[in-house]
Amino acid sequence: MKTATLFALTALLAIGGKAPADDFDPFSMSKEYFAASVRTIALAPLIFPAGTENQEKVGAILEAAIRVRLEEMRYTVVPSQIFGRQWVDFSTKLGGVYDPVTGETRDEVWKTAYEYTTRALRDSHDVDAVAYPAVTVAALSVISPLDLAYSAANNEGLRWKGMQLPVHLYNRPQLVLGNHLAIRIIDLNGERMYGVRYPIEVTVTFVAGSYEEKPQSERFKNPTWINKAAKRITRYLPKVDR
Amino acid sequence: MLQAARSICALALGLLTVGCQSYEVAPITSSDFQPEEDERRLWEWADAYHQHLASHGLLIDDPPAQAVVDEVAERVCQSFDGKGIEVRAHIVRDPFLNAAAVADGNLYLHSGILSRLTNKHQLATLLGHEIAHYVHRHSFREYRIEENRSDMYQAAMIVLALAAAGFAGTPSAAHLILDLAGSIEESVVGVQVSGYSRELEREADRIAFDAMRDSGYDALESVELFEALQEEESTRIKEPYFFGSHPALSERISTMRELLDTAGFENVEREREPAFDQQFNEAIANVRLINVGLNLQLGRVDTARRDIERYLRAAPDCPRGLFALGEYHRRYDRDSSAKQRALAAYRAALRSDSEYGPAFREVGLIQVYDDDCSSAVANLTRYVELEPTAQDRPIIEAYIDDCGGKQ
Repeated sequence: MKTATLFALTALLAIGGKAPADDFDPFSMSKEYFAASVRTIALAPLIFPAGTENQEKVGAILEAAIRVRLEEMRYTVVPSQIFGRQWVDFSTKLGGVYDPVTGETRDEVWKTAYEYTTRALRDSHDVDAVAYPAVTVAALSVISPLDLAYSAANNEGLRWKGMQLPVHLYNRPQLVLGNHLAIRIIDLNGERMYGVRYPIEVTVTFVAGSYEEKPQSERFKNPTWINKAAKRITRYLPKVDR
Repeated sequence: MLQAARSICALALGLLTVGCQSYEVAPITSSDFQPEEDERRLWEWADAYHQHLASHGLLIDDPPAQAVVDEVAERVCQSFDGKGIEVRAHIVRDPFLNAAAVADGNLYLHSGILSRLTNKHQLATLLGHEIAHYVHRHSFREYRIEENRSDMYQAAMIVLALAAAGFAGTPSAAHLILDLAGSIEESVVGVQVSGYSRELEREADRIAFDAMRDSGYDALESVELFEALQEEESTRIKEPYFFGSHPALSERISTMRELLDTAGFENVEREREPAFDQQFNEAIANVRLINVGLNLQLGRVDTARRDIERYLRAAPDCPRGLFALGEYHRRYDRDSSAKQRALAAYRAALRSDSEYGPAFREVGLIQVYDDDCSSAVANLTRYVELEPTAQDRPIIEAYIDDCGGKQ
């Protein structure tokens, strides 16, 4: 109880401090240039971490969530099958983008395949940029004072941004990994324009020499968090003026 | 009692004197110049900075541009009184308007600022300013100030970052120092590094103005250089390592105007076009073309377009420049006539060089998308003949087959 009170006090003290401003900028080029040059975005097929089950089904759900958000912001969205077909066609003609011996990406081949894929998409669909969505695994780095205070006050398991973690407050986790929904938007010349990610769910929690893993069959089941992530990764984009 | 008080005062004064080091230092050109022990450390860090730039492929080796830079630097150096000085000017692969001088006499001109210049007079202003920083040991003077605030290593890094922020006060180059510094926290070096103090910048401007005039360059061109910087400030884009702004830019333009007035230029037309020196622009042409690519990588399309125009003004028949213009229109121009302009530029490149393979490919691909199959096959076939080892050959041959089938 003492520990919990201490956590809560620390948390409340921390909350009392000045909240950091949201000065995160996901743009690699100016937002003005992005607004002036991008109206139609082609989605590339979603990339998953190795071992993810039901990729086709989950991919369709995640892509739909992203597409809805982009369309709400008045972008014209070209489905991933269109990009995927062109990409496979051109990269196959070039002998594949991966080195058959080392498995490493052949950068020059990648660039050439991308150049011809986007050229064809611009001609056929007037595409201005390509969005690469992906699920990435990353550590959830911060457990906020607010979450700690909430957990302590309710004497329940640890929460992260309102998300319940499979570990109690007293067993402070050493590492929490989570699936994130990520998006990178690349211009037709292969230059990165925008990139951001946001967590969907906790997948592995390491505590005191052990760990707890969320089963594959239970992953990507929370539409609230999927939609929240889709919203967060697109929130910085300028709305298209049509 | 009085004597005791005097003794205490004398002791206190003595301690104060020992505690503070002099910030006034003799210029490198003075006959009794000897580097201080701590100044040598600054040179070592400057050398590490140079190695850092070189090992990251950030230095451009372009003999024609290097020759013109060396020529102007040498001439400006000769106008400094006293012992002869030796500087080494380098061109840095960076599209922003900046130049810098570090403690060991290495000068760095960014490709962005070199591409913006149109004559040797402007280059002399720029180099004069940086050489003044070096000759008057501004790095070392700042170092002495910083040394009293922080430890030796941090002070060296701060000063190196100040120097690298350079002419325009842009922190892009200063951020390389952050990489170099490694263990130093960003807050120590500062993320808003914007160059030397105003006092030192003013001093360098004054000295540069005199040096430029003494070496026979046209002083009026100096204002054009500063106005270019101001124009860049107004169109500055936000990108990860470029978020500073030089607080003293307007002030420095005023200083230059005052210097011109004092030197008797008060009645001269200030709004004249800067001189376009053909020989100079031919010499820096390659650097300008490299800078086009750097600007396009950052989405600075308008700046890239201006670089292409300056390039073509110097070399109107150069197929590489004409091809770059075509690429600009094809990739970035949103005007309804962009395709026609691209086609015209590619064809102009082919008129200049009838064996310029990439232009055949681009003309051919535009014709593919326009369903002009017979012309497309001819141009794409010519491309494959001229560039038999091109990586995209399988794709082009597939287009030739597809188009051939449609004929």
